[in-house]
Amino acid sequence: MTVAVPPQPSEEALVDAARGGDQRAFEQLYRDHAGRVYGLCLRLVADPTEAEQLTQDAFVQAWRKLDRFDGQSALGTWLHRLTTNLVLDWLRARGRRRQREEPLDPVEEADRLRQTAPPARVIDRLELERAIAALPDGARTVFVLAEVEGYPLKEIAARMGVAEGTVKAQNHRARRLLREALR
Amino acid sequence: MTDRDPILDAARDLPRRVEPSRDLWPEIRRRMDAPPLEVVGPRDRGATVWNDRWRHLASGVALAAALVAGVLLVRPGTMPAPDETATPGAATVATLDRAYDEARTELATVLAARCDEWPATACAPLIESARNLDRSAESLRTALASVPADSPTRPLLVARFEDTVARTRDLTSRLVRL
Repeated sequence: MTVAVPPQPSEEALVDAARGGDQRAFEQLYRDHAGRVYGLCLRLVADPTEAEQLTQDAFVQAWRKLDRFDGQSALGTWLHRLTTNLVLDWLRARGRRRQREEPLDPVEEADRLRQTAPPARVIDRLELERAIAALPDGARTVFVLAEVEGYPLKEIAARMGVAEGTVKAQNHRARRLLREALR
Repeated sequence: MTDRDPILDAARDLPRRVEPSRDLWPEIRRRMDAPPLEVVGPRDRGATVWNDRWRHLASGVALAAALVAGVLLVRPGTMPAPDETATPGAATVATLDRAYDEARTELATVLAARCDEWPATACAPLIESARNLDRSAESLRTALASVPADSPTRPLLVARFEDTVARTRDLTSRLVRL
């Protein structure tokens, strides 16, 4: 005797249900997309705790704005853009806070610099992740959006509210710093 | 034929999905049920930092005002001669002096060991931090030596000195754990 497994509802059906207030449907959407959203946050902010917080922020915001999702693109694309905007806002706010606050914690700073130092002959994933995480905020943001996520430089410039030349310069800087770190 | 940049190739091959180390759903669900004002975005967290900074600024102004008031109020000849042996501050300062020197020696030992292992760039912020602690301790020693024993500013300076000793010990213990 075989037990019939109910078919998995489509993403469209889950979105419709979530729009109607169905939290279980939204939980399923969270399960399907959490890894992608968290991965983006983690690479952009290079801090697991903040990345978790931002992932939560992104899904809470998505829940509240779900009625604005028009279904023209995939939900993942919409979530990706929402998350990118959220993290860029956060990075701008962090930049302002760092200017106002005291210098970085010396122990954290030493640890970060220490971890960028070990040379690697072969570029393995962990070394690359570590080197990307150690980049300065601006260079890391541009590199992750351009080279990992595949955004055009022009679009990155528009989202960051800076000139395209600035984005090109940051990308060039990121690549130079990565080459030095991974030498 | 064009040379491909191995760093860019490796970057494009990075996995897009990275699973969080814990399940974030319970917290998300709690916040979904909460009124919209509870969404703690970066601006809200920044505002908290801003409030903290105002508090620190206010406490700094209060300390400066207390220092000025202390100097103005305690005029020579108007107060009884301070009895150093009866002043709890004198003993405390001597104890703090010793405590700072001990903590600083311990920090120097750990710092030397770390700087042997680590690149100079990683060591630089730690050396700078240790220098800042030295400057702080030195200025507090000078201030404590010049402020009358019964001045109301003395306990504040002593508290600052205690904090400097505590920060020195904290830096050492965090370096040991690294």
